[in-house]
Formats: sequence, C-alpha cells, structure tokens
Amino acid sequence: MMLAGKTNLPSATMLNKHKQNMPAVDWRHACVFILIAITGLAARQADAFSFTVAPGARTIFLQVGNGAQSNVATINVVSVNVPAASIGNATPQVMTTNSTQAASTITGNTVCNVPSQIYIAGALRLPTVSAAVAPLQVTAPANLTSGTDTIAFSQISWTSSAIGGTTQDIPAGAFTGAAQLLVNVPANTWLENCHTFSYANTAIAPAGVYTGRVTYTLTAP
Amino acid sequence: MKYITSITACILFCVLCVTSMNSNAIKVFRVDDSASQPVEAQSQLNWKSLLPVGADAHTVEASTRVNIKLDVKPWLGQRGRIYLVLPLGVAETLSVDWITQGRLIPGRLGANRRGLVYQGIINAQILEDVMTLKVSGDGRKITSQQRLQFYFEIEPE
Repeated sequence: MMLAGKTNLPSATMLNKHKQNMPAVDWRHACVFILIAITGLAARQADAFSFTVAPGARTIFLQVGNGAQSNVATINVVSVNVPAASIGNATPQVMTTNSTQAASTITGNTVCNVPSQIYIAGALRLPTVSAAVAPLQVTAPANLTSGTDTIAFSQISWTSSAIGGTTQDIPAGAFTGAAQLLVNVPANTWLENCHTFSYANTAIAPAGVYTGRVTYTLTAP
Repeated sequence: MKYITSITACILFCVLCVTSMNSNAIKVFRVDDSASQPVEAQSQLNWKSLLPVGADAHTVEASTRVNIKLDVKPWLGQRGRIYLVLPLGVAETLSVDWITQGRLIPGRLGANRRGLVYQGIINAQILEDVMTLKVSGDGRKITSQQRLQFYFEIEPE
C-alpha cells in the first residue's frame, strides 16, 4: 500500500507530458498499481483476532544429593573414618554419605546405591536448537581442615556410574583444590550420574575430624 | 489518446482480474470476526515437562480463551462450513487445537492450517461462543515472540 501513498493516477496534463517523454512500457506500471490497490481493498473485508506467544522460559536445574524439582537446602555429608593402623598407608578408603537419594529425580528409576553414592543431575532449558551449553563446575578449597591441621582436598576422588546406565554423563575425577569443570551440559539435555568418593590415604595427618565443603555450580549461558 | 486507451484497457483488465478472482474463490469468504476478542492476548509458552526428559521433553504450550463473535448475516439461512484459519508463517511449527462451549465445534488445525468450527444452517446473524485455544510445539524452535493472526472463512454450500 505504500505505492498508493506515493503514486497517483496520472492527470490529463501528466498524461500529455508522458505522451512526449515516457516510454511505452510505463502504463503497465500504472496497471500493476491499480491491481494492487483493488486487491488490497478486497483483503480488508474482515478483521482477525491475534494471540501472541512468547518463547519458553530459560531454566536451569542442578541437584547434588538429596533434592527435588524445587529448591532444597539440604547439604549432604560424605565421610570416612580411617583406622589408626591404616593412616597414610596409601590404601584408598571408600567414603560413605548420608544421602538417601537413590532414585532419579526425573524418571523415578533407582540409579544410585545409597548411602555409598551421591546423586548428581543437571539440565539447561533454552528455547533454541543451537549448541549452547551450561558448564557444570565444582569448587573445593585447597584443604580439609581440623583446627590448624590440613589434608589436601586432592586426596579425594570419585568414580561415576548409574544403575541401568553405561555412560558417564558427569565423569570421574579428583578435586583439585580449586574450581574445575566437570562437564558442559548441552541445552535441553538431561544429565545424571552417581558419584562414589574415595580418600587416597597417602597423607599422614594428626588425628582429628577434617572437614571442607565443595560447591557445585551450573551456569546458564 | 493512445495512452488513455491503454489505461482504459488496463482498468478493464484489472476489473476482469478481480471479477475472475472472485468467481474462482466464490465458495470461500472471509467472515467478519472483528468483534472477537481473546481474553488474554498474550501468553508465555510453558514447558510441558519441567526437565528435558520423556515424550514431551521439548514441548511447550500456552492457551487463551477467545470470545468469538462471527458476523454471518450475509449467509443467514444458508448452509455453510466455517473454518478457523492460521496463515502459514513463522509459527507453522505450532499445533493449534481448541474446545468450545457448544455453539462451535471443537477441533484442531489440520495440515492446511485450518479447522472446521461450524457446519450447518446459518441460523443467526452472529455466531457466538467462547473458544479455549491451545497452541503447542517444539519449544526449541520457538525462539522469538510469535503473533498468531487467526481469521475465519466460510464456504457456503
């Protein structure tokens, strides 16, 4: 319809002028214009109602240990008691947990052995088909501490598995005492695994209760 | 004079074109639905499944109620079929279905992007109903806001 605003049917005077100067093809342009104007009017016979929809919301989900499809404040504990006779003998000590999360949060299927494993799951929801990812990181302090005594966090490692699954979505590793990448979670993909922690027991440390907290972080792009 | 004759011929041609178009499409007419109003004109698509697992892993959906008022005076007393139409466009990956309160027929848009909402004798000047319209689709493919411009058309029998 912009043509209509800018183009007028030629007046008689204009026609006379065009008769002298216009190439013969110009009248066809006017013809096209008229057709557009008429069909344009025909299309305005009725209105229509409209409904506007916005894309699905960006969402992110991370669960470590006990949790649900909502915010849960629980912080699970992974621990091991090293017998005095075994301290520092380099025999790995398998750790246990206080987690009761055996079932997958999304499928309900039993995937973890509890209390020996910690359930970890993550997902990123994005209205996109692009290859966006959310990095899943874990951050540990340099040391477990007991008063002024310390044991390096790198003494603790984990294996990864899931009952009924064969892939390590969130792979095995060992704490570095700093922030470290575990996996990039692809957009619109659900990852879950169960981690079994182990204390390397190569350090000779004074008796005591050594503690430290690790934090898992999933970051949306 | 030559140009005036040409323009006259052109206008006649255009009139013939429009007449021809009307005669070819004589069975389908747009219905004046200008009095129809959605109760909620805008909505966010919600993920059907909170997490991306399962059959509806990536499905999003949204719904609205629409107060439908179709001015069908021109076809009063005639038999006809009325269709809801959503023109093809960026939102063609969305499925659309609806339920009604009984005056119109519940249904869904077919592959040709239209669905039957009325069939029978047009026995009122205005056809009224409340339609609950639901749109759904693959949320990964709906990456921007979509304006769905519906209209109705009638095929007199």
